[in-house]
Amino acid sequence: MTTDQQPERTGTVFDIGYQSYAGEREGRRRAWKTMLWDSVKNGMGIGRGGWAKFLPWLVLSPTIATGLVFAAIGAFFEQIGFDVDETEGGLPVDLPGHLELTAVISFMILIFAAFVGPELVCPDRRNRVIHLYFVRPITMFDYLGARWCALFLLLLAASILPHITYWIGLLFGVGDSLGHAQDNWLDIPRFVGNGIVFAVFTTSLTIAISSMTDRRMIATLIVIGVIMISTFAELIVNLFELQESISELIALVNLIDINANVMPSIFFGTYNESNDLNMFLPIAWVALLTAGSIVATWSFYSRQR
Amino acid sequence: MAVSNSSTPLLEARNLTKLYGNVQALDAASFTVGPGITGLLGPNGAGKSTAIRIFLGLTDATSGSALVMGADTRDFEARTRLGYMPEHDCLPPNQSAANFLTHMAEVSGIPPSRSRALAADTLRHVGLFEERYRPIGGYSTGMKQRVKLAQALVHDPVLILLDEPTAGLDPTGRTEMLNLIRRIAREFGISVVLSTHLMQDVERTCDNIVLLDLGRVKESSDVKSLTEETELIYVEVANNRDRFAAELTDRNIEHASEGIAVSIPDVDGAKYDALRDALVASEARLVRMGPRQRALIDLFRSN
Repeated sequence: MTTDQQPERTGTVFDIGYQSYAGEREGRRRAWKTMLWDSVKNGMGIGRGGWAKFLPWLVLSPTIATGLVFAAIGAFFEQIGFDVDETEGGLPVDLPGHLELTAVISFMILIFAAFVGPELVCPDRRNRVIHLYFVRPITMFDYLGARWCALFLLLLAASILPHITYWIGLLFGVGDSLGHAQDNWLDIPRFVGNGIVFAVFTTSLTIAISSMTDRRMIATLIVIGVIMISTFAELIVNLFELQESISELIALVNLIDINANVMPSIFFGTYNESNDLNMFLPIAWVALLTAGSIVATWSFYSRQR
Repeated sequence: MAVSNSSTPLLEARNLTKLYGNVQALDAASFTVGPGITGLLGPNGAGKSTAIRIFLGLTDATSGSALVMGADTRDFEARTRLGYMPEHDCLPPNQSAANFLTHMAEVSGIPPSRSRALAADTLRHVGLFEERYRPIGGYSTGMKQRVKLAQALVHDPVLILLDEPTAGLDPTGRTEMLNLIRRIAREFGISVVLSTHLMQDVERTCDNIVLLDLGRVKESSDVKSLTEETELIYVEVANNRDRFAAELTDRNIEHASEGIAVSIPDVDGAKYDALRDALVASEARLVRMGPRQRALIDLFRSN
């Protein structure tokens, strides 16, 4: 067919122009859900570049791996003939449990919070996108609430996933799975409860610190710095060989120790065995720090607005 | 939320007063904004931005009230029908325009199933369809202004508030932006409040203006009546203006010199003849002669 024989074009492109949206408007409910899900995705780097994914997973993966290692150790001792179930006649070896697992992973989760927390709140202020949120059907409470809940969910997942891995790993590793589950089911509310308290406290603290600057890296360094300084402060004070109860009181400034030992030992019922202080004191201290962080965040954003 | 009908103003300020410490940003300002394009005009510090911030619910008035479509500024339903384009940068550089607009549509209450299509449509209307998957950080100033406008439009609002939308644009970009704003009002049926200190932008674009100065409303009217023709005849000459003025004086014609032109009040048939003779006698080359149209800048001068 030559060009002369080509059929005449009959198609026409119509511009349908601007179409008004007549569909459903879900208002504040949709806005809140979007903010929450967007924060979770941002925190884990989902839908973002490689580097944004790399950092949170770099920190989070070892925590889950630790749960696997604990489960593998338990299963190994079971395979070579040791009884790993404390309630079934006692352990021949002192295997690490959920309490020890919490102690190992706490620092890693704090580092995870130091990377993810600033990511959720700093760029909005740095890029001034925050003004666009507040003219939409959400309040400052919704905004901060969604960001807070997102970090809380991520930290809760980071705290309990290793425990779940460990618990389920042992379930499959030991010979009597049903018996093991019956004997150790109480560990689940313990590590979940501890995870919730840890996530609430760490989320509030991280968001409060991140609210002070719009630069992510500076916020991350401040969070890590606060953790380190609190640890060193306790170490320095301990050099003075103070009375046991005073040392325990001063130990409460150590954020790692609160998360890794003090609170878990309360949840796992071992606090009174090794401490002179009333266990309500650390609980009140953590509650005070959490409330203080929330008030500081709110007041900072109120002033910014 | 109050039902927005044809009789309900889109925005209504009643004795709106705002104090920042000892500084009075708004002083009992009362005005209404109806459909079409309304210019919120005034010099720096006139209270334009404060008024916008109050209508957007970003700050509270010290006294008086502000209503959006008949509802309180914090009413969630009213805010789902409001769009805002700030003057300052407000875009995440690492996100694509398509993703950013989709997110903003959802935050405005649009279900996810529809928000992506709305985002693509809006980007098509502002001329960024082909570029929609590129990170915003790589956009030019003009493109960023369009993304800012698009995020204000993406949820199909009833009214959008634009704060200095032509800031930082070159003449071509400025013309395109003003054309786009006109299209939004005329074709999309979305009312616009254009806050600016550029009177030409208002003259070229707006149907109505609210002129603010030192927090008070100095004028609130439609642009047409403010720029209507006057009784003055404006004669612009290329040369010999002073000689021309002298010839007018000799012929007892009252006049005032303005730059390269002369304006003459109350011209009738006889005066036109005398004016023609004065032009011939002065050998001034006529560039333009016609009824004088008031410019909005006169409003600033008179205030």
